[in-house]
Amino acid sequence: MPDTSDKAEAAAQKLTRNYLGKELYVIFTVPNATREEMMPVMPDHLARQVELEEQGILFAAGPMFEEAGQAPVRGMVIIRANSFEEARAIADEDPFHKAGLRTYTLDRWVVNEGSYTVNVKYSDQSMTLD
Amino acid sequence: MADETPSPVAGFLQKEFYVVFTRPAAPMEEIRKLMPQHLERQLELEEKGILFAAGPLFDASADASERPGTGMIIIRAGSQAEAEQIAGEDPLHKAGLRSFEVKTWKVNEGSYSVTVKYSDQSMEII
Repeated sequence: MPDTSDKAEAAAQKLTRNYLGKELYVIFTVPNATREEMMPVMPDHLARQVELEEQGILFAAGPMFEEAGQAPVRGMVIIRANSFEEARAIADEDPFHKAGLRTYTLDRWVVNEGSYTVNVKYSDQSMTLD
Repeated sequence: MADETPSPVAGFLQKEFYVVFTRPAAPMEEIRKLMPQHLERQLELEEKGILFAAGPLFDASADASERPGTGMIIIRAGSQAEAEQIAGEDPLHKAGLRSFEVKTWKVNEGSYSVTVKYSDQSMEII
């Protein structure tokens, strides 16, 4: 049985009172050129990604597929920024976007739930992420 | 040819997640009534280690005080079919109040820092 609105609202508030509420920005990037045109710029794009990672801006990034195994249809790049303006400036600096080889849209994402486990081994300085 | 050259992301994480994009398919008033059940389900997925990260998406024109339209739920699953089954069990999807689509996402780059304090058992994600 669904709750009444008031009851549901109160229950939802109780469940979300300790939520993370972390704000991130999500860049959805799609090709605007052929793969052949994009490939020469790929090393620059990847170097930029590693630079963003180094600067602590990049939360997580990679290609997105309609179904596993198929060619990627877009990329999803999740970054830390303080505003849409700042996020847009970061996205514009991507060599693909700069060259007009890919276009993007931007959303703000509020992370409320989720978890991950990181296992760090001191002896060989390895890590696994689950 | 391009396909025979080594992958430019060789050595990157290449970890697969499934991304559930969920959109309203009923008036907000109806969705709100099932919100506690949806939130309980989210916590259950978190508890089971299935949920990587989830929350609402807002575009630049969205009023921050408004209830969001699209939600993005990133989960761990063994296949597209398994991911779709997990998403289908969300009470809001089950009731047809929201509709969803599932994509595969391969995470190559990114980082985060977690500070854990033993003395008060607090944590901060950066």
